[in-house]
Amino acid sequence: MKNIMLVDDQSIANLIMRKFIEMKLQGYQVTDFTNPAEALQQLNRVSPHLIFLDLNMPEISGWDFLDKMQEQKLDYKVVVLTSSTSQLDREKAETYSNVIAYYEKPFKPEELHKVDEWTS
Amino acid sequence: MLTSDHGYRIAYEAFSQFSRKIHQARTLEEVLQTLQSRLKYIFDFRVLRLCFNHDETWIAAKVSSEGSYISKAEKASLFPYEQELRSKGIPRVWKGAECQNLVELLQVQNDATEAWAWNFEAAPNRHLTITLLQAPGHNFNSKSITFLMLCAESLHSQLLEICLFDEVEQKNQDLQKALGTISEKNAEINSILEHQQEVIQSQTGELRAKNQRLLEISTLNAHKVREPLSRIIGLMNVIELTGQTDVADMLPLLQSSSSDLDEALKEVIKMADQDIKNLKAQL
Repeated sequence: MKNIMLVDDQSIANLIMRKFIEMKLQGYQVTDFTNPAEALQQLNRVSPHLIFLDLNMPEISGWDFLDKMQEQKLDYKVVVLTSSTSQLDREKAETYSNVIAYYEKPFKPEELHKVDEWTS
Repeated sequence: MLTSDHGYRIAYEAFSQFSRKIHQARTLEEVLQTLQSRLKYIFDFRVLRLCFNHDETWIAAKVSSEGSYISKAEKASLFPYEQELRSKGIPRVWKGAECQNLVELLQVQNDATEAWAWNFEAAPNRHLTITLLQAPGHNFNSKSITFLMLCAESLHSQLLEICLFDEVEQKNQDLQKALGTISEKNAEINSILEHQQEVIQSQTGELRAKNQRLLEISTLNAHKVREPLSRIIGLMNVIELTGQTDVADMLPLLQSSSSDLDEALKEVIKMADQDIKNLKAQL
């Protein structure tokens, strides 16, 4: 089993992503967090093969999350999921070496076929 | 005086000195001084009047033991006989009673009994008229005329040079004035430009700040609206994928997300209203 971590302050968003993964993929265990601080604490325990990360979250934003990963030298692969349409955000995300994809919400379930490739 | 070769040499030497001095003259006063001090050594005369013009510049002079003057004017002050001389170009001689008329005309008090007058035309717009009154017993004859003509040529060229020099001087002064005016205007323009640049910079700064704020509001609004909207679309996708088996479970989630979307839109409208009010207040 491969582990996928979902980090979004909106529980409904995590639920939708979990449903997509359950229906489209096999062999993946999903762990979701609405609190990014808790997700950071649990990173090494979960040891995810892939993280779906929202950017706009209170207290700890997606950017803070990525920065803390860098500080702790954690290079788990990250797919950014955001409702932001800003080109600046897209360009900023490209500067993080562990960000492998960037999607504007709503995420299309058809895109999940890339997960196998991302987690290989 | 000019009855022998010796007399010629003396007259020629006097003319050489006159010519040298007259060409050194830079002002009308210096010309008059030269006429007063040098001319009498070249030929005899009691009164000499000259009238020179270059275009609209007129110079009149009189040399006499009773008094001398030289003046410059922008209007002609020719006697009738001088006008006649200029138009016909034929030299004139007055003797006896005729000469007395000329004495009165020139307002001199002396015993002149003979008068001569010539017009020297160097160009259509440049004439020199010379009138010479002679006392009885003095020796001004046809030979003296040769020297008088030489003197006239020297005077002609020097008076022209002085006139042109004055014109250049005047134009130079005009140019200096114009330059001063241009400098003043230039300073005014620079001042206006500097002020405009300050205004433009200030307005550009304000516009940039407003644009930045509008951009921030626009981005924020888009994000606030798109977040619940993307959830609604995602839930619809879930229902579609599960074949409506999860509709009952999804419905409260749809209602919650729709409510979030409604709140977000209300907030966006409220912010837009506030921005419009602020803009109106600034206008």
